[in-house]
Amino acid sequence: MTPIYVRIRSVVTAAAVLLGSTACDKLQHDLLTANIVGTVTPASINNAAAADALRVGALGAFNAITGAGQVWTFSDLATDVWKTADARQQSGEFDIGLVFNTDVDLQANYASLYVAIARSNEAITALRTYMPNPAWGIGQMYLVKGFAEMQLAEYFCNGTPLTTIQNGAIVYGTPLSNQQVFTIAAAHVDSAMALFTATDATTAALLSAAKITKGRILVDMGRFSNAATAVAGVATSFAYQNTFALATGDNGVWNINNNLKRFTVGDSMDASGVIGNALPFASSGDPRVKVTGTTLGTSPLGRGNDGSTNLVGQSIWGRSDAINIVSGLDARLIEAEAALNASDLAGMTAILNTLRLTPPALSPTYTPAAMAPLAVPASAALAATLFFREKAFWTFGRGTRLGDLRRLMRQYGRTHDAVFPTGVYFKTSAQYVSEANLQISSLEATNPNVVLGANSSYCTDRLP
Amino acid sequence: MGYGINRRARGFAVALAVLAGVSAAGAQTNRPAGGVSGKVTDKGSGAPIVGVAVQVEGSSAGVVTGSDGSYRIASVASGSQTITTRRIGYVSAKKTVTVADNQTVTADFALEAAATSLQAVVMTATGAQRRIELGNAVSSIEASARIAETPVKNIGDLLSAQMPGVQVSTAGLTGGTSRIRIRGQSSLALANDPIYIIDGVRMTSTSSGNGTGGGTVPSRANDINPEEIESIEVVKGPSAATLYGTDAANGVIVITTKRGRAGKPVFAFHTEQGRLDDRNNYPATYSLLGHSPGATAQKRCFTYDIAEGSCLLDSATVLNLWKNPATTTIKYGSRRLVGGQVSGGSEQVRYFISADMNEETGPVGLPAVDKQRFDSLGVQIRPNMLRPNNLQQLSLRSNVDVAITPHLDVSVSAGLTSLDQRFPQSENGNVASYVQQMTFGPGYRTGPGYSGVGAAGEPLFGYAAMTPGEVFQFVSSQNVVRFVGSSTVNWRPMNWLQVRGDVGYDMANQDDYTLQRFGEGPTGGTNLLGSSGDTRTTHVNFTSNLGATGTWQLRPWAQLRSTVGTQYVVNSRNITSARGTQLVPGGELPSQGTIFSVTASSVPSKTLGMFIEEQLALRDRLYFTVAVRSDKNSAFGVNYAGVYYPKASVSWILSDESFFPHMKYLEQLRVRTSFGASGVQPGATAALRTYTSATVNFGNAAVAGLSVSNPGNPNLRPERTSEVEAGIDAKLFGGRANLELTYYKKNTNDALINQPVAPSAGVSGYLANLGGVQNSGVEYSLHAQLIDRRDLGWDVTYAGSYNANKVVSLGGIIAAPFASASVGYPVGSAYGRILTYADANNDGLLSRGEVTISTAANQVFLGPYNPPTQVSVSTGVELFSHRLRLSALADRRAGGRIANLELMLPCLVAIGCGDLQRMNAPLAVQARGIAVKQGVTSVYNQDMSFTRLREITASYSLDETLVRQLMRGSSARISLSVRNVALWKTSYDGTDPESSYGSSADLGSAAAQNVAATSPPMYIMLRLNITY
Repeated sequence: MTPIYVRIRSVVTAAAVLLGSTACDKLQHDLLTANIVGTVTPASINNAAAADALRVGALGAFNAITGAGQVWTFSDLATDVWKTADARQQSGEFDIGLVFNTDVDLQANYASLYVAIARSNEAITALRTYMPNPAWGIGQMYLVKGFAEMQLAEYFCNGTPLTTIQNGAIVYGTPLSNQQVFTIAAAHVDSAMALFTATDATTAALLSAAKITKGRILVDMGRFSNAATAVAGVATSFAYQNTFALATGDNGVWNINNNLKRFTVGDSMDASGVIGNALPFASSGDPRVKVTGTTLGTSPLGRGNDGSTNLVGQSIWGRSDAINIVSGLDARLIEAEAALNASDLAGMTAILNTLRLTPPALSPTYTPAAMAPLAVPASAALAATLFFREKAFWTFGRGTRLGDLRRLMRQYGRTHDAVFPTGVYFKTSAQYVSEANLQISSLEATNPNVVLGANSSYCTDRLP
Repeated sequence: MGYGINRRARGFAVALAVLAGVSAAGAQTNRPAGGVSGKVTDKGSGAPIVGVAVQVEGSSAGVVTGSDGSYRIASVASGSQTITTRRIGYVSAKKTVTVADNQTVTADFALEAAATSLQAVVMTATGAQRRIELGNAVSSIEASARIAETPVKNIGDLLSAQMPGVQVSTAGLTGGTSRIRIRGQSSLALANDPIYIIDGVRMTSTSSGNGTGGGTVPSRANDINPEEIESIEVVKGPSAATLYGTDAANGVIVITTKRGRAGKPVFAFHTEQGRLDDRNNYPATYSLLGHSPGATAQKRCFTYDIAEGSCLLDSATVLNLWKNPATTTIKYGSRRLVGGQVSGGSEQVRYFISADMNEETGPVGLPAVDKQRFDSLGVQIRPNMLRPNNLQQLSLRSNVDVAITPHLDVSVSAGLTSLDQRFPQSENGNVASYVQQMTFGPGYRTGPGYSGVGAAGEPLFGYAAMTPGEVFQFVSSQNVVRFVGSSTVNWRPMNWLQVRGDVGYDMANQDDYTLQRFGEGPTGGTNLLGSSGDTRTTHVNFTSNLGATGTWQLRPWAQLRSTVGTQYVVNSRNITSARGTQLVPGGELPSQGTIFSVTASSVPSKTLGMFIEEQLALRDRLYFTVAVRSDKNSAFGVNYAGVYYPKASVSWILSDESFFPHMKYLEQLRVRTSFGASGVQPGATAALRTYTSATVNFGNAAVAGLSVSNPGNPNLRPERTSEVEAGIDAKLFGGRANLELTYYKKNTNDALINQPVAPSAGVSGYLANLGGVQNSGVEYSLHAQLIDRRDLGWDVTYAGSYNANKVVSLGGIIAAPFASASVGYPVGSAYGRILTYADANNDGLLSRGEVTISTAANQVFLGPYNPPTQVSVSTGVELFSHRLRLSALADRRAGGRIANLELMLPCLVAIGCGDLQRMNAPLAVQARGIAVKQGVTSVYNQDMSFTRLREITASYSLDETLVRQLMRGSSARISLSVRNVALWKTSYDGTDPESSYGSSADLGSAAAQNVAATSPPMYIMLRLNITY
């Protein structure tokens, strides 16, 4: 029999070899180094090209909150612009105007606005470090940031925070009122414009886009004359656009309406009867909202994604048609609204009629036919109604309607029942609720600064 | 891509260094001088037993018996030696012999068969061990015996209802994944699948394929041909799985393939022929047609419209497309298997070679109406349209064992599988679902709100939006070529020391292909413009094990067994994917699309571990084991160095102690307890901050951009699960009954949770070790040989388990109200709003006002989605001198919930709603229909408890003389088997509570739900085994 000490020595030797083999740092490092292909890590973000790639990544997020994504279409669904023809129940929540803060689409749209802000922030930091010139790159990121903040305040209730990431750590923001967010957005657009000093075509276009964005923010803040000043000089033909190609993605409006058939063009009536306050986008025959199909009867386009709702398809944009993020048309509408608020009803009407007589292109493939001029409204109230109707048709599908309906309440003293859709909702036979704004996502609860209110909402209030 | 050859070479160098070290240590050795030989036979039948491990106790000398049951061990030290035998399914036996120099002494054994005997041998991380030595429960299946009697098609069938604590959910479609969960769910964010070890090496078992995003997802675990399997052990929890290292916390399925036996070649052939018959009662579609008071226009009505007087009923229709021969997709399926095996060899070289071919066609086919329409239009009917669910598999295996010297033997195992399978788009298919077309329709062929004509102008016959034939035009296939090879070296440099090394390589090349030809297939969006996707995935598992075990007799009554080992595992998945849309007419490849995209990635994960185990056996009745394993992994965060998993166990044959009172009916009693820890590693890139690239179109230019995809977590570490288990094993009534009782409690700390980040930060959440989950439960099994006479036998096995599962901590994260993972509630909890109703006027119809639904804030806990209770009963009666065996297996699962989306979705999203469109619907059904019309879906969370008669089998061994005369064989057995025989549901009114969408998915954050899934069919199989 082998002596016990020999056995122990042998086992200890084997154990020592094993331990030694696994204890060798270099060997371990070699054995455990995993070459992960296709994953970009922070080590690669150390040059101008990478900084510019971050800028492009932020533009991707910008696309998602404008014409390529669903933020515009869902905010419009909460108004009279669209009706759901969707098999998904969540779309019905938007349509009837009672969107829970747990709704996945609401959460996605809420988050996507912040993604655009966060990506532009990261790009600004990288561009300042690795690619400060041309300056329009950084300015473009400020514009993206300001635009996202503007939409955040236009769509969502009071109480949205603006969180930042400082040295890699998340610093959660505190609830802000819409007015505070508009103010911050305006400041960021100012920062953008300060960087648009060059005279090249890119910078000039960005400057015009920034001016219109600033004008829109000022309108949101009720500073109408300042808004008109901001957009002065922007050509009516100007357009700052989301562009599309088959390989990179589709026009978001075309996709959700014409392709996926989830939304159908809104109308002033449906199977349940008249929808109070709703504009007849589908049935009016207005050249600015070119459509195919009918709300009632048998629609030649058939039914929507739910198999039961008549589909009315818009014909302004095709699959790869560019869509205006901001345009000279917007500038003119801002000027018209400034005239309205200056009690210059004739001036307002004149601007609107100029647009009607010589309509700007709404897409690369569609320019409405000229329309008969409008008469000057007899009162400010009628003028306001006329203006917002005109604006709704001019800006159909571009995510401005929810903010405008809120402004009708906030700035023009209209009641909720006089602005948002009312009556029986065709899908459930319940009454339209049409809350004046969208709630803060329930996922924001992770932010220690937001508080769940008595109405199970993280909004500080639901005021328009 | 992957890891370089030079790095692999370094890994081998390490292994060689260790071998060299052991060699040096063992340089001083005593050479034995005698031999032992003999024969091992079955005590009952006297037949030789092949494959018995015969070993000299206290040494590493040993061999395996040949085909005639004989063995011979050379080079045994002279003197008194104890010879032990071990074979799965038999009681281990011992004999003491005196070995003299240059002489061979004889030691014959007659072994007693034992289904779950304490003396039975099981495979562990450190090699084969007797069950009595282990402090934990291990369940085993002698697969070769089970398959010979009952046809099984994959691992899931093998394990289904066989072991307490092991829950298998069967897939409905051929090639689908079986979801296997062992002792509940521990992970909230990671998969809860067990890992697989085949012949000592890690095996890819992930579910991946075309079904992603909806539909059936194949599993790589199904690639293994059951015909090649000798035995399966299921290591249930961390208390037993510690030495398998990080990733083993959810259990380990240890597969041992068949080996050759010494002796003349033995040829065995088997064939199966059978039918798949889908006898499930899928839901019909209904309508109520009426008109408004004072109006004449006909409209669809719901029962509540009639109750409320807003609709005056004209007629009611029912259309069951499943039962109509013209419209049904249900066709007889078929299964064919033919295979052969040959094994044999000498004491020096043994071999096992097998080949199998099988083809299974699922019971889904092109409806007659579609066939007629395609024929009339001249549309080519391709095989995938005619039979969209098909699997063809070729399996080859060659296992060779070579005894190079009495001290050194080498085993080489190689398995090759070629698999082709295709699936119809079903369930929540991302393109379309043929099941939804069958069940979402209006209840008539034309009528209000339904023109009967689809988007492409095709007649719909009552299908929802398109015909199944259009769905079947969509091609979804998977082709896999897989090689699993391993080599094991056993070296016994000294009679007390054994060194074992394994190297294994598992590579599966998986090709997932989808095709919708231009102008064909499901309508919707741009679908008819065509699309083609081709994703090629290479799964690689490289395993290297090296270990040494020393055994010595400290005292005559005390034996010490020491094992040290190291393991290096590389798991990688390399994916290249191409997709093209807007195909040219006739185009079938991604490159023939107008819009073309390609992606590629390589995600390796590497683990380096080592372990030490000490086992002390006192008087061969009391066993203490302590062990520790250390792991490092490439997926851990940079701030986390490594992890240690300890283990300790005690096993005590109490009945062997002198103080234990003699009891007439209790022959043996063992008590055991064990503690151990193991983990589950995070995904390969979860710890890293990563950016994703995407092409952005802006200003009419397409440019690649970067954005953060994962914030990363440098402190990321594996989930750690520790478990305590205790139990007793008793042998009763003279060995006629075996009883096992086990209690376990396992706590998962550091459970990975997706750390939520408020959306206002603009970045996504990241994985963090924040959670805690607790599982506790009992497992029991009683096997009894009630009658064991020469002409008649009757055995019964009753087994069951109960698992209590709850989330202990979410690390301070405030879960959304009624989230499926909430502190104090099970992982995957179902909640529901309270529904009350009263039919005030007793007209059998509920108006909306007669139904009250609690608010969203007022919900009640209904139960876990994972059923906590499982019971199975199997029994067999043997007649005619045990030639005929009649057996049955039934199991019950209870206490779980399932979201009945099969009936809910039509009400929510489609024109048809059976719950509200049949006049005889029970009030409770009408009430939930009214609720779902108001967007309240949780009322469809139903009790999924069911009992299933899973299989019945008649198996007959033909007379040997007859076999010799007719077939020139030595034995033959014929079996007739029916699987999925009958189902009894408690209250679930969907088709089958076992058919769950995404059956491989975990329920931590998702509900078990039947989203128009195809339910398991009945298999009627005839099998013939012939041995030559």
